Amino acid sequence: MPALEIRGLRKSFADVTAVRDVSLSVEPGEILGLLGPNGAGKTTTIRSVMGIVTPDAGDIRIHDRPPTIELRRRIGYLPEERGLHRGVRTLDAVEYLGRLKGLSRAQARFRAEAWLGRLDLDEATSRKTDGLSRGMAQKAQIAATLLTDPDILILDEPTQNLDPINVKLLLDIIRERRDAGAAIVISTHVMSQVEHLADRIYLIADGRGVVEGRVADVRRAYAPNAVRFASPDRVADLPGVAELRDEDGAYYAVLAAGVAPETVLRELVQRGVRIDRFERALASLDDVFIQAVREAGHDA
Amino acid sequence: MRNAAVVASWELRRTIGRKGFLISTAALPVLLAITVLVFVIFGDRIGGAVAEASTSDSDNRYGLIDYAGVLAGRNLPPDFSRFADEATMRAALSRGDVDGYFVVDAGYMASGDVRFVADEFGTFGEREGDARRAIRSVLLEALLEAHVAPEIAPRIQQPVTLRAESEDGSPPPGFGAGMIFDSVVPYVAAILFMVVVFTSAGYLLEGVSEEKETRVIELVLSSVTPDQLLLGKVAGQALAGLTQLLAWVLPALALVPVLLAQFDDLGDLTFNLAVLPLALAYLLLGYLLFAAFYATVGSLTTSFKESQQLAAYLILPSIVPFMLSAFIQGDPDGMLAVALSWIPITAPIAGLMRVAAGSQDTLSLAISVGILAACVPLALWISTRVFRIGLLVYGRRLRLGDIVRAVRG
Repeated sequence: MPALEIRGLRKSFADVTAVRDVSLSVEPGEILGLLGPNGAGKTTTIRSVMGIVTPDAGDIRIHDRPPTIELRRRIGYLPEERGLHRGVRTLDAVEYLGRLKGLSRAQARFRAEAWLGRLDLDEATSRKTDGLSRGMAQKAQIAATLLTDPDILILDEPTQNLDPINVKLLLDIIRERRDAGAAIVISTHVMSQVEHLADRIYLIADGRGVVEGRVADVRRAYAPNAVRFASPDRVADLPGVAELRDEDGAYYAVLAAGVAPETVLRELVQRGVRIDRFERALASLDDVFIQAVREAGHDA
Repeated sequence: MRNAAVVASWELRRTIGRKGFLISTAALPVLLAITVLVFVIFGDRIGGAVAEASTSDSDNRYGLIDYAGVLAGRNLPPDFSRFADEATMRAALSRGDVDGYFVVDAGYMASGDVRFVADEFGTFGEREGDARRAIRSVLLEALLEAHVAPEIAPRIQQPVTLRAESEDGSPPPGFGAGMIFDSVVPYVAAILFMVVVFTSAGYLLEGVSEEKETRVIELVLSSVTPDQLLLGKVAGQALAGLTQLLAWVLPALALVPVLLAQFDDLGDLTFNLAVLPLALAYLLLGYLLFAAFYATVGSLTTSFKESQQLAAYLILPSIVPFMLSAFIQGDPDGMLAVALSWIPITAPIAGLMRVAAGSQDTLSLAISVGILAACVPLALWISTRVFRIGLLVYGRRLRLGDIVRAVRG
């Protein structure tokens, strides 16, 4: 049973249709990469789930139930547009957000201290929020999102403003939560993170879902007719190869139309070329993104 | 309700923790305490200096009849003239030979009663002040020189309980220091009440604008509904306002009697507590009305600075009654005063000022409160509708069309 399910979502603002048709689901223990160009409808979709905007049509279910404020409070939500209250101690600001999620004062304080500590913000707990750097404020907001150990996490651009060390820390935490059974939706433009983190992707363009599936399947489906192989020998003038280039110590060969990878592999073996690795090239998610959005005619 | 209570608690704690709030809340009791302290310590010297200065500077001429015989055989100061009877003295007053006259009552030694009659008392009752000091000085000197018995020692300390009246026997308008407590104190109280209202609503405006400006609003709205958020904010700031009011009123209740005791002629002063429920009704309804207005403004605008500018357009019409205070004070049941108390945006201040000015028109005051009470739920309803959509619109103001659509739902 999906932890979160959306079917046929549609939402318009005055004369602008933000979401035309979005249907997706996330299972417990799964990370879904929610992708799409700016203005595609990702944020409106997320806000609809969180009840911040009311959809015009469609069905949203949380743990197979219609969403209520109580069910939504079980979602850890890190919005793209985020901040902290000014002029208060960081610990108090995070505690308050925990209280709004239904925690008692003592619980909220205890968990806020624990999560701020986990995110290396121990020293900032008694500091006023105004004095936090953007990265520190971002981590405090992440702490508030994780405060209730939510079984659904919706993270909109979670790594922006973070340095590589903190990006790694956050990605580790996200994987931990996934392994603990949480259903996680990550909306981001950092495709490399999605490639390594997400189990599945859902790409929205022009308010519609245009690509959906497991990451490897999608990369394969959008793969060019190309192979990638590594060899210590010098290779050139391969028949059936339209373009051969050296990429980071490996060869990337774009095959001519109708030429199969096996043909190239056979040719290499016949020439006695030593081969350390040979694989069909997959599309990067960047490639998938660009191609899918272009095909959808989205004016990004 | 729990969510609204959490929001209210947060708003209350944040507001009462602000430096500005603490300073403004503490300033009034401290100022009052200093005033009381100054009068308690230096009261006699201040009073003596004033009396001395007034006596020497005064060029008033007074008539005197002493039925008690306290001043018999004594030389009076040059500005005093003895008369044989009151009719002669009244004629002298009519001719302008004297500026006023004193009648020392036959039972003066027991009562201290001296009647002062004058044709006018000055804009602020200053002639009464001069007269009181003049006769006090004369009588005190006489009593002391007579080596009076100890039982009349209180009379030496307070020789005059002056009753003033016009020539026709009616009490003079605005006569005596009691005038201050009849009109000035309620007027000041009305101002303080409205300071509380505007301060609380102002903090609400600041809170809404700040949550929108810092984008924390989206996190908040993922856990509470806009209605719960608005309810919590309104309740929290109301509690903060009440805290401020209590912080002003409670010390005042303790300190004002001490201050009044420093004045000779305010001993029998009473406050009309009957108007308190009405004043509190205006206070509460006024706060709710402006809270609704300010929450709407906060959700419509993109920054606190912009929201302050827009809020100024609401404050200006609301303080019109202050600008017209002379008319309301002069005729609290006149057409202008009643009209202002029936217009919702001016009603809180106009109503309080009418009550302070001693309005007797209970029906029109009831209508005023009724109109305000009917408008408050409407304003709050509109506010929640606009609040819902306005909170998440960043970087641009809502257009009129957006607002109309929000209100229509």
